[in-house]
Amino acid sequence: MSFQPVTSTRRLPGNAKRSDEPIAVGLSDQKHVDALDCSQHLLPLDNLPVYDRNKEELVLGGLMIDYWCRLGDKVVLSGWFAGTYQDKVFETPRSQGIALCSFRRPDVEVAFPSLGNACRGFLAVLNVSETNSIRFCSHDLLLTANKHIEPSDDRLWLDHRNRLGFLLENYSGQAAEIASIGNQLESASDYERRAQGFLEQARGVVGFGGIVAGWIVTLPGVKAALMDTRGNIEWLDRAVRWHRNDIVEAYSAEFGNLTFNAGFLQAWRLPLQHNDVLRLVAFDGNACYILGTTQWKPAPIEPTSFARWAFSFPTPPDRFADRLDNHDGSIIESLLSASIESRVADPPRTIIIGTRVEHPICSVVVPLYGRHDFMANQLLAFSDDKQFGATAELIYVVDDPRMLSEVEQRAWLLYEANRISFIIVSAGENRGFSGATNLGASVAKGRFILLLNSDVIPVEPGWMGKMIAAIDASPAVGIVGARLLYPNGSLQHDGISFVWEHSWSAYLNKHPRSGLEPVTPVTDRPSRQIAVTAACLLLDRSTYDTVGGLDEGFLIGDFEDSDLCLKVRQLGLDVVMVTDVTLIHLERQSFQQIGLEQFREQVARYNAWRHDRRWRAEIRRLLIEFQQTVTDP
Amino acid sequence: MKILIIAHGHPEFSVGGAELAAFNLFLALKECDGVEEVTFLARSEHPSLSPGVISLRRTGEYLWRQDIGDWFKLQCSFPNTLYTIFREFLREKNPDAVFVHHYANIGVEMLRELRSTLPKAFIALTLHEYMAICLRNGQMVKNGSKRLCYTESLEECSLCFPEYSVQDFWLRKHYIQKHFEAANLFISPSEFLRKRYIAWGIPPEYIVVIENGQPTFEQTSVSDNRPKNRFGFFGQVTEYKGVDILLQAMHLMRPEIRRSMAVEIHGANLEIQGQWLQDLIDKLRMPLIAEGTLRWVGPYEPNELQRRMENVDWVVVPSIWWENSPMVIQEAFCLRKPVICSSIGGMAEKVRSGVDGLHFEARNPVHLADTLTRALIDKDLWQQLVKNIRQPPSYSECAERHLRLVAG
Repeated sequence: MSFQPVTSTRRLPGNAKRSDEPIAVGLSDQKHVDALDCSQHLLPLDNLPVYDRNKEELVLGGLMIDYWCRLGDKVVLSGWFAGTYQDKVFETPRSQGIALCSFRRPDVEVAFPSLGNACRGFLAVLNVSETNSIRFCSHDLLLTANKHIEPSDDRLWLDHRNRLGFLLENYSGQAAEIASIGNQLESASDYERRAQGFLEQARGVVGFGGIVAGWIVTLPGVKAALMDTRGNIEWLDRAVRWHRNDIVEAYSAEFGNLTFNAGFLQAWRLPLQHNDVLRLVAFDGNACYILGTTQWKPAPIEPTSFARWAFSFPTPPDRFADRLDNHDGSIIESLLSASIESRVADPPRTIIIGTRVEHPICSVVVPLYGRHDFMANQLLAFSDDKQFGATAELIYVVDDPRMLSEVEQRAWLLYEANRISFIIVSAGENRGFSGATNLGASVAKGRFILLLNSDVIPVEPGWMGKMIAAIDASPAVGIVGARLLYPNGSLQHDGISFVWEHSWSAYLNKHPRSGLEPVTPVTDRPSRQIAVTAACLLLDRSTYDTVGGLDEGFLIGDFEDSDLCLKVRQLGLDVVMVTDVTLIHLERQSFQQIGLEQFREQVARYNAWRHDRRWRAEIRRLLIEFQQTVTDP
Repeated sequence: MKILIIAHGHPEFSVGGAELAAFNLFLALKECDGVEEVTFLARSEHPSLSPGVISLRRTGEYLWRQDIGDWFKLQCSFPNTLYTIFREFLREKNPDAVFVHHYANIGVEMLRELRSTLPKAFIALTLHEYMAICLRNGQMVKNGSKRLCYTESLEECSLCFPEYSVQDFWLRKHYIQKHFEAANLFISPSEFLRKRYIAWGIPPEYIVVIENGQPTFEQTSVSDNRPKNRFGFFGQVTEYKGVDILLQAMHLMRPEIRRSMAVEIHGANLEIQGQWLQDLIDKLRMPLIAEGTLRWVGPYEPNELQRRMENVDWVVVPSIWWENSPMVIQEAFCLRKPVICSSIGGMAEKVRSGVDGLHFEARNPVHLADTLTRALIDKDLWQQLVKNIRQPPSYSECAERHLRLVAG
């Protein structure tokens, strides 16, 4: 290299040349550009700085690039500009793009006292052409090897430790680069305290996502994000927030009312790995610093347990739907569908008690969970019903492995006592109401399937025949339900309608007039309904198969009956209900979803959210068709 | 006609009114015309019997090891043996009529097995208290407050037993009633109990009243002029039999009147009652015994009853629960003793106040004190009441009425 000799012994910062040095434009020795492509018009970086001078040779502006580095598919330039070059920094071709941040360079200010604070250091990120040339500050610059540094070079990180936020934002979506920038982040203690925060839990399921919870307090303008070591970033601007008095007590002296709503929950739907470090970072101007770190821990894989854990965070009820939309709703859904898909396809364990009914007209599928004493009462009722004994195939699905042995033990006694044959089906695991019903239906041989809850007890014979007659009466009928009564004779179910629940932002199933006496008279004409309960629901086997049975994607179980009815309606079939039957439903008298203990309520909210997302428009249409009140906003 | 009587106990092992009624029916039916064979099958918990086993006691009498496995639904302990041992026994005996005395200790499942194995037999169930209606030992007295319970309802029952829900009580009632449906007819020893079972759900036409048969005693002379001032309590000393009410009433009487009376307590089992009751009774009885108006005689054997009861003029039945058809009232009437009893339930029905006895307001010792005083002061009252006493039906009359039911 043979540049103009340096005439001064005093080195200027960033190798800035003294203002009295001649302009170096065009004086480069092209051989020394090495492998880098170049052309006559290019100004090699080695020849910087360049200056603007006036007629009196006074320096009006200057540009210097101290070093450049290739980071990802872009280049990062570090240098300074002064005076007239201030206006030129953004004059770059659109294709090249540029992001630039500037900062004080006291050393340069000293070198060019006449320019005062018009001397600025800069850090720029641009796209680079294949020829390793860039257009920057009205120059076509050739990136030369002498000025090149590797991203591992400490200089870059030491000079620009306050500009890591700027770099991170400009490498959005480029995980490898973000990872390497992120690894340079330091904890907040070295910085002016403009944010405080802490990560309390980060748990997830590999392949599905996780949930991160903690708290954060920031001054206005500071943005928070989660960042792992592999370059994944999740911004916290849509995190669900809630109020925490402990944070107010600890930090209000410093942050005042900005401490309100410090708690946060944020879903992580990006890849994750257990024990990988997750950071809570604050972006403050161009800077970025770490507020807290934690390691990923495993969350329950089993969907209900995951939900139980996830729902334990006290997110405000009014933001529950929003939370499911933007955070863990999709994670729970994917865990549920994965758990269904992962089931072993072996045929279920089946035991025939008595003799198998040869050509049943109707298969009655009754799932059992938690208790089985209802069987004795149901069988007492069935045994008095000649029609039932002659035409029905009774299938008990033991959806509770805890009591399978006991049920099998008692089964033959129940057969002896009642002379009603039945089939015990078990998957050896708990699948919930939908899963158990679908399992039972899979072994059913009847032309019809009658879904029956174990706590529905007919107190008069002939009810099943009336339900079958209602579906046989018209090809337009897809589903037949039944009026159900509480033990005290009041209505338990007289058809399902939907009401908009403002606090849940969803349509909920409602049993109109539940708990009151029937007003519509008992008649042998089935009545049209929007939907009916699956506690006692008859449909054609082929219809059941066409719609795929009951949806198993609801958590624990809820809404699958209205979902089934709405699915069958989409086939163009109607839903009706018979009233001239007497069946007791031993369900506890309560508005179905409200007032449950917290987890059950949250599960109900989840299911309502899922059901509503799928059916809101259809429900609105049906409410109009049935001349009922449409109440959603 | 071949008849089978099933009882919840054999009086040789378990002395109770219902057991005795069943056994006496058995003995009386043997003597009836047209009865070819009578079998007495008594539930037993004798340790020599394996679960479910039926074993000969003596000709025509069998012991049957059976228990209640679940008092909530009145389910039997050994249901599997119903379909083996019990079924074989029924097939072998093949009775034309079955009289079942009580379902306690046996379980209600037996009824449906009777019906299915003996489809043509006449099955009658004699009801002895309110156990099917009321989980609280069939007493229809509320838990905790011990208030009298006038009607069963799912909600009220669930309040007495919070561990069981309304739904559970519905299942209980449904379960019991479905088994009751196997019977052709129900027999009640009192109209009061009949009405309670009708209110509970048995159609009125399916339930008749037959009083328990009673022995016939020699008529004792009533002509002496001795003051009729001896009162007797006969029965168990439990909190529901109201001995404490009687003692309290004595304390409330004017001392000079009280000193003119003698009260005898012929009662058993105080020592196995709750300590509070033992303490209460002790506190109440000590001064009365010291005074000489109260004699604590203690337990008696059934064959001693007649002699002991003959020694008193009045029988007092101060129970604080409804009772059904207390045997002690029947026995008192057989011995022509007027009865002073609580004005509720089976007692009020069997004793006609001012006719063959006196009522006092149940659980009210003040009123009982007044009633006892009246019995002591009104010198003609005793004679007048005794005249009106009706002889309860004899064993054979009772048996004849049972046979007439079979004939329809």
